[in-house]
Amino acid sequence: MKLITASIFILAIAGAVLAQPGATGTNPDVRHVIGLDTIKRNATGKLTVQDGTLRFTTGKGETSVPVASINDIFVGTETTQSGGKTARVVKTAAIAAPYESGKVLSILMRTKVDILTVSFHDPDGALHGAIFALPIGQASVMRTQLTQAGAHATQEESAVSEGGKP
Amino acid sequence: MRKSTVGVFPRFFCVFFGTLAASSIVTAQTAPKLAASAIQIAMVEAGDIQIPAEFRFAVYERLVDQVRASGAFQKVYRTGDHAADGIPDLVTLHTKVEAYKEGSQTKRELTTVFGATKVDVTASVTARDGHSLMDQKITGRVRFFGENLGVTNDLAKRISKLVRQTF
Repeated sequence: MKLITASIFILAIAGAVLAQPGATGTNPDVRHVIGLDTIKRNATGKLTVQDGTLRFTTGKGETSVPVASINDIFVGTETTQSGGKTARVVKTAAIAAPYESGKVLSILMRTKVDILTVSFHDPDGALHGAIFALPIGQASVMRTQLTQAGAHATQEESAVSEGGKP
Repeated sequence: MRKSTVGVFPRFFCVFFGTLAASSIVTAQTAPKLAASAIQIAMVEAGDIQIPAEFRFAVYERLVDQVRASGAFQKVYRTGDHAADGIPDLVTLHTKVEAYKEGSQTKRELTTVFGATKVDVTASVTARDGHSLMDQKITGRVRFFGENLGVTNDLAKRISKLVRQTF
């Protein structure tokens, strides 16, 4: 009985967390993992290709990389946790749930994302690697847009990585 | 005639700790910190190891951040930076992937025992003339919480700590 009650409690919390705007993708849905000096890690924003630049715009600012400076693009996948910071807090709190039922959250809150890695050189010649997490299926679209805009990328097949076990 | 055992233990401890202190002084004298005003972080090499590109770039980016934050060098340059060309005492940090085992975040969080992601690398620092100043194998892991890419943070922290101890 207790186990059932605990499971219902956990499911209710998971439902509430997943129902938040951050998890449904109504907000900007590209996450900057690392690599852009002026943008904070894990900031979410819009990633666009326009006027010969790759532009990442967040609520607090934007940064752009000239497409001509891009020397390679890689696409991979990763399994991550949905629901943002709120979900992380709930998941941590759920460790205390009885019968380890909190672990159910790990299954409910996992989501697969595409990882887009853009390798580019700044005006001094220094190498940078900007990594973004995009909704599944979007990284290849972005890669195509970048190559059409003039970005250099090595062979399509070898550039696609197979990371991200669930 | 009976020998007195009083004071044997205090004498033993004095000798033991004295030896320990002396050896640490000798170690400190034999391994002085190296000096360099600038370091260049080379791109992570994978060789024949199959590792996703995002892992290599994430380690590289985190290394640049961590070594900068350590304050061990006046300047930290990325690979290819022309500004580093004229610096005489420039040293270069090379990272080579030796092994990569991809884990699973879900397995990690459900079992706490299985599903660890692990990366073994060799981190080395060379001088301008190519001679090696530091060379060590390091392992980065992500065991419980966090996505697989978290291993890059652990690895960068370990390499940065090693560099800070050397310089």
